[in-house]
Amino acid sequence: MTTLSRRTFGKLALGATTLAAPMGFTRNGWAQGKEIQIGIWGGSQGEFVKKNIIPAFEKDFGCKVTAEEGFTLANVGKMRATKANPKFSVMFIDDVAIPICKTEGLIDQLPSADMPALANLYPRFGFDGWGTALAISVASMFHNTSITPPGSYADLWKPEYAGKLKLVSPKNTPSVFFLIVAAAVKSGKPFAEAQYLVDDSFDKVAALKPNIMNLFDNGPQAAAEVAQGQAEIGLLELSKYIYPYTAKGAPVTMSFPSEGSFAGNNCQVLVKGAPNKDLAVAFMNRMIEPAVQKAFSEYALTAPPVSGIEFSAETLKYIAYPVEEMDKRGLFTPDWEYINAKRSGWTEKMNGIFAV
Amino acid sequence: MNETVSPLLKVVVGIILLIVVAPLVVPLLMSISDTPFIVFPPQGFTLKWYGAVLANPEARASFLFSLELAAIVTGVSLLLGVPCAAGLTRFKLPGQDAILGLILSPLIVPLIVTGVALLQLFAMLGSRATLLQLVIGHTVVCLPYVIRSVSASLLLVNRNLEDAASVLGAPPHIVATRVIWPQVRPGILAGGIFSFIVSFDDYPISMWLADGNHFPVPLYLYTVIERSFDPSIAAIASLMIFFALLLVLVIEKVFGLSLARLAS
Amino acid sequence: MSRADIIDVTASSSPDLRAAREIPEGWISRLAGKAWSLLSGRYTGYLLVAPTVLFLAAWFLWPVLTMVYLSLTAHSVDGVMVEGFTLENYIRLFSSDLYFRILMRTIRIALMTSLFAALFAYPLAITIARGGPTLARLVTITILAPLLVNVVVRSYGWQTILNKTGALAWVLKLLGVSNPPVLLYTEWAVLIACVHVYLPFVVMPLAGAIGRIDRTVEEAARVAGATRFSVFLRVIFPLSLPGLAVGVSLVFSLSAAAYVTPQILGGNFSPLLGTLIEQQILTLNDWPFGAAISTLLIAMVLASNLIFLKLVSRRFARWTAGAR
Repeated sequence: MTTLSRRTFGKLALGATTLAAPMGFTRNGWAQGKEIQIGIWGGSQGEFVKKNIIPAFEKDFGCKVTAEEGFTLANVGKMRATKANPKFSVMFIDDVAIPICKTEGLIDQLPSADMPALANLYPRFGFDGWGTALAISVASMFHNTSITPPGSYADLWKPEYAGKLKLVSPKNTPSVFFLIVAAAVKSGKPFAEAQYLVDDSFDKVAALKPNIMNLFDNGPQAAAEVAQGQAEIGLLELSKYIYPYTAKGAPVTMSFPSEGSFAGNNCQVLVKGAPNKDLAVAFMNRMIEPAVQKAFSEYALTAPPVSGIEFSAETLKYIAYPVEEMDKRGLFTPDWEYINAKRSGWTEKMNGIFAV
Repeated sequence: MNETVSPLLKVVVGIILLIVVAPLVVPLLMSISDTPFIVFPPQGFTLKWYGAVLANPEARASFLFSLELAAIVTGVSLLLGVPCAAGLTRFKLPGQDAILGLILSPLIVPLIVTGVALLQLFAMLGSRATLLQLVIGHTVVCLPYVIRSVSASLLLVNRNLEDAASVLGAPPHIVATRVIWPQVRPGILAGGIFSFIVSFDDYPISMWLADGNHFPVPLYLYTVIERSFDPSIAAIASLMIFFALLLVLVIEKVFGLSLARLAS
Repeated sequence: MSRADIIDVTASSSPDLRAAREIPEGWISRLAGKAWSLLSGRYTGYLLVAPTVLFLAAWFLWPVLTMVYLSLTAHSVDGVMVEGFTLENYIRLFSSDLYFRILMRTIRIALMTSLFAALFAYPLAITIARGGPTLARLVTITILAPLLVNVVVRSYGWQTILNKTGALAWVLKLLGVSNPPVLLYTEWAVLIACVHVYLPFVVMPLAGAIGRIDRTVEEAARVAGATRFSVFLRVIFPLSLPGLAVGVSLVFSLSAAAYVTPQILGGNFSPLLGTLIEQQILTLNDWPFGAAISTLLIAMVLASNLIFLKLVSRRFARWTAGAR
């Protein structure tokens, strides 16, 4: 069926069979022959959507779904460039970009009446109806298993880590998490307050420079380098990029310092003026149905945004679920509207520190 | 025979060539590693990553699409570029410098900018023809190479031979096919190969214009890298290297080609 | 035979009529002949050039000018475009020394890439132009190979060589260097990778130019007792300058716009203007500012190309005058 060598076939087959038999389906004649284009992410998530979720959906609705793998930022750019004449109907983006898309008028509110699966969605992942989360991963520090990671982020500033840390580049969203960490370490305040103190914390960021080996753009690649022992610790990355390695036996894993961790929310939005909107909505509904969410989460090792899903103990090792567990771990979601307004200036300051 | 190439020069050239080849050999070594993630030096030996890539329908579809795209782009670039080069080299046109500047400028505008600018334009026109968009985008970037290389060979055409043939009574089409064509053929071939390579390897333009059904190899490579960093990436890279080598060798055999014209 | 091959390869001379006559006459040749005879018309020059010019005007010039126009518009903090003209982006570009320093680094890397590429290109070009056909082919295929390999793959190849446990460190240790420098994530790594891939762009035109130099001049100089090196300095180098100019200007333009290599091999410590453009367009969604940086990059490359070509053509005129 597929040629995936990286995951167990059993898991895949299980996922596929669950998907192929959704509960009590009536034939969806209205969608026959319709076609939508969606923009999804790459990574194992994209792989699963393409190989499992879409084929089953196409079969049930007699429609065609064309998925293009991209990444959040390019996806927003594509929506913007095609705003006058939308090409895509559904876009997968990170929560960081939802406020931007909203203010620029790139997306529509979801018609909740047509999406029964919304009933199980945790309210915090609903974004006032402007989209839903699809997968929640944890952003934190990752390290080579041969070392004992520090219990607090503050220790990373010690000279013993000189040249041993890899830092995420300002191009990626977790870079913002790092800035909040620096502000929290400097001020001693929790993330929720520290995020508003980032502007005054760039001296702390600059102080870490001697310990930084490089700024990385590509999470899996950074994980591979840490696994090879080229660097000891990576700061910070989403668990969905690291745990697939850990699960395969590579000597790299994540740790969760006392200051807390961040939530990385992968979301879906409905493009404004979407071609074949009804089909797009049906697809978005399918994405958050429990059976789909269970298989999707187990494959990509992310937590679902909907309630009431049972996971094996093995899977629960890698994800923070249910929502009470997320709270217990102190998963923090930054104030993106505030941060988006600041991000350009922050990036400029980061460039000023690391690029000259 | 080689009296003008001194032994010292040969040694220097040998060292340079070794350095040039080194980073290309690395993916080959990594691709045979029997580990679930990339390691260097490789551990064990397996060809399973090649099997996985070759059996993967997505990889095959991307490869075939890239081939198709590069072939069309090469055709279009030659169709536009060869007459243009002839016009530029054979005629004194007012504003020639401006025209030349325009033709070469796709090389100096950052490709990511060209790509996003084109996407905006296509969206404004309401175009849904992805293949056509990609062909246009790639041709913009390939034209400079074609025109450079064809112009260079046209400039070198020996006018004396041409005149001699005319004086001896050869009609223009005989002059064209028997005197000029053999002299410019290498330049045209070189331009064609170059545009094929540039199109086949383009990322920044395709990133904006491609979609799920039209997904060239470089984009596919990026998605594989994002999925996980296992040796199948190295296998894809190695396959691309093999393919490129094969291409060059075939062209060599078939055309006895003057490779050195490639970039001149 | 072998010599004739190479002559063809390097365009040092043209094949003679005898070779040309071997091509059979067929419909292709008749068609080509028809096309060729059209070339004597009055407006033919324009007709030939027009399709390309129109194509590029519509699909390149127009969209890119739209982007330049965009650099004159504003972009509010929450990512929304606002109507109206402003010079805000350019003021921001020139008021911070960050962008000036990155511009200088871009120029420096592009210049050094051109310089090193030229340095390595001469031995290779001379070998292609003057060596036997097998050698010439081997050299040509080898230096073209990197171009055929995707930039990401190439960069990871270099990464494996340049990192602290990589092949380079190993070789240096063998040679007795006790504490080999780690070049990965420095400007040097960016430079090495740029020279590596852009080398053929200098070698090819250079080989062409050297191939065109009359061998009798070299031989005469050698007979008169000149060393190989002085033959190179007095004959080959000056006469190859036009080829060098073509190649080096191309390498300069290409390396100035590089953005993947500085990220992967420079560890983002030494971004070039291209990196900043990508950052603005993809991460920060600030297209107007990205467009402003692009405009700066384009202007810089255009200006340096002009200066460079002027410089070389003047030198060339002087040297060739001296050589005669």
